[in-house]
Amino acid sequence: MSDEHTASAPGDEFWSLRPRPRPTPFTEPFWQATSEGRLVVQRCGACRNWRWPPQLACPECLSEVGDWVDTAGTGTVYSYSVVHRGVDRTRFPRRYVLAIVELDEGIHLLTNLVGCDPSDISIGSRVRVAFRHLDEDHTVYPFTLIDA
Amino acid sequence: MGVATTEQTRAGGRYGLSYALEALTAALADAGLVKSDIQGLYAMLDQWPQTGPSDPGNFRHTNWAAQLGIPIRWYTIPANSGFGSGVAAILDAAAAIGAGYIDTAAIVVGQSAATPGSDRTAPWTSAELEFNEWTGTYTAAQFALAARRHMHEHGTTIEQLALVAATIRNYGHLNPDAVMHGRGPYTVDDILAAPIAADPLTRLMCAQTNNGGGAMVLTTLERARDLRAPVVAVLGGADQFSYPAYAAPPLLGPSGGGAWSRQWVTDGFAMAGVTHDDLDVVELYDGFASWIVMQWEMLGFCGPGDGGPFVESGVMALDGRYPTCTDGGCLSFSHMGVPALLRPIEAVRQLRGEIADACPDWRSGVHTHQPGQCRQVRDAEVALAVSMGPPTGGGQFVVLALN
Repeated sequence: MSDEHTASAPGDEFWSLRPRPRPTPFTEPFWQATSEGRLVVQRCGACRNWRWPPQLACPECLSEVGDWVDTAGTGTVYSYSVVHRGVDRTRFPRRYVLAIVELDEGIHLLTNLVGCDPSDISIGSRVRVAFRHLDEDHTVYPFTLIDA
Repeated sequence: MGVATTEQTRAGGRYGLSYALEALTAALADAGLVKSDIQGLYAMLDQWPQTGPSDPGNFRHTNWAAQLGIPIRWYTIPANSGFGSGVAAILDAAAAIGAGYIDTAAIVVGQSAATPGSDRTAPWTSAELEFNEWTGTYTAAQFALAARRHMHEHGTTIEQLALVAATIRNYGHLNPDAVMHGRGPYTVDDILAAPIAADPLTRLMCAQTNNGGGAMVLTTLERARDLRAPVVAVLGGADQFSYPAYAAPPLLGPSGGGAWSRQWVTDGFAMAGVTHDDLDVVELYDGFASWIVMQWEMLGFCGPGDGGPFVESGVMALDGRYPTCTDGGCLSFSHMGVPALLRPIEAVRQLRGEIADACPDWRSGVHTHQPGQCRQVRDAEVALAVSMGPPTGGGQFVVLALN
């Protein structure tokens, strides 16, 4: 893997090495949806507040009634960091882009930005979800820049 | 009050309990007390030797009673920053002593989890959570996200972050007890020239983790006045938490350092009966240089978003308005991976005038107060110390004063 290649699209590689999500019965619907190419987020059944990370009850009204609702899968970059000294070099690329994406529904996800040159990323850049398969059973939800 | 720290080191080979017991013994001697005086205990180890890292034995009061050979009458479960071993423990101990439940409490910390040669900072904050782990998130990267957002919203510059790191590391350069003693002095350019950890943060803007111990013994004011050490009193403080750090993304709110109200800060200063202007020395939690910029804002030293210009004005240096992290802080003195006791211990030493540095006669308590040589703040009477873990928002602060 040359530096030139990693500099153009760092981190969009070696997906099969990454740690697998370990769903609980509570979060299983989220991961079922990613495997079907949908990004879903909890929404309160009482006050319609979106919430993330998943919680048993709504922090606004404390209702335990909630649904996993499809999002548009689009949003903007709230912040990002090109990680040079990562957490585990056996499971992650040498460099990758960690980011917080603010979905158009208003909630913030910790994710990766892939398939783009970091120099093209800005806070406020428009992004869309770009699912990546770790294996047959596990699909994660990095984002990529929407071409201006 | 008695305080002590052990050797702080990158080397392994000792149990955390070994550091904790050494520190406790020294803190008791410093106070002029003995272990049978201890009634309340606040303790954090990375593991209890015979039970292994996943066993709760290190947080079990019965294990401590057996090891120390004393009954324990007050033991609140480890919570908050530093797992209850930092400023949260000082506030709780002061409350328990003030209310009359106990007379004397000890806070002890012993860490041996740092892996020699590891690049990683506090690996236990790399949350093994299903929505995080696949992203490669870890401590420095989460602080980097908060730092970049702060730069975007408020115009904070990378040079301002570098100045924070250089200022603190230059205190550590002068501290013979610091892990990074003699490694400096550093310029802003030196900090900027270090390799990137997670951009925009360079490695010299990030603390490493170390092994070592610390302890603090607190008792009633009446009893303290009969003991050998100069009396340092807990005037007050406050505690607030807002979000599950590392599990949820670090977001800046209206204050620049977290989305939640700063009423807790106003309340804590009012309880202590002091204003910011009364403070002579400030011990913030400098796990990352960018977090210092936000703490000035969170704690009300400057307006929301103004932390960058505030640090650029030179307030943190020995000849500045608020000498900060004067032992070299987490960046250079030592960082145990959690905001434990080291910040308040340095505050106590400053108030007592017991600082070790490069002044020719520091062992006699004589200081030149020259930046580049001295760390002792002149006539320090009131100090603030914090434990603040999350990348945005939350923690505790305490105001300490010579009595």
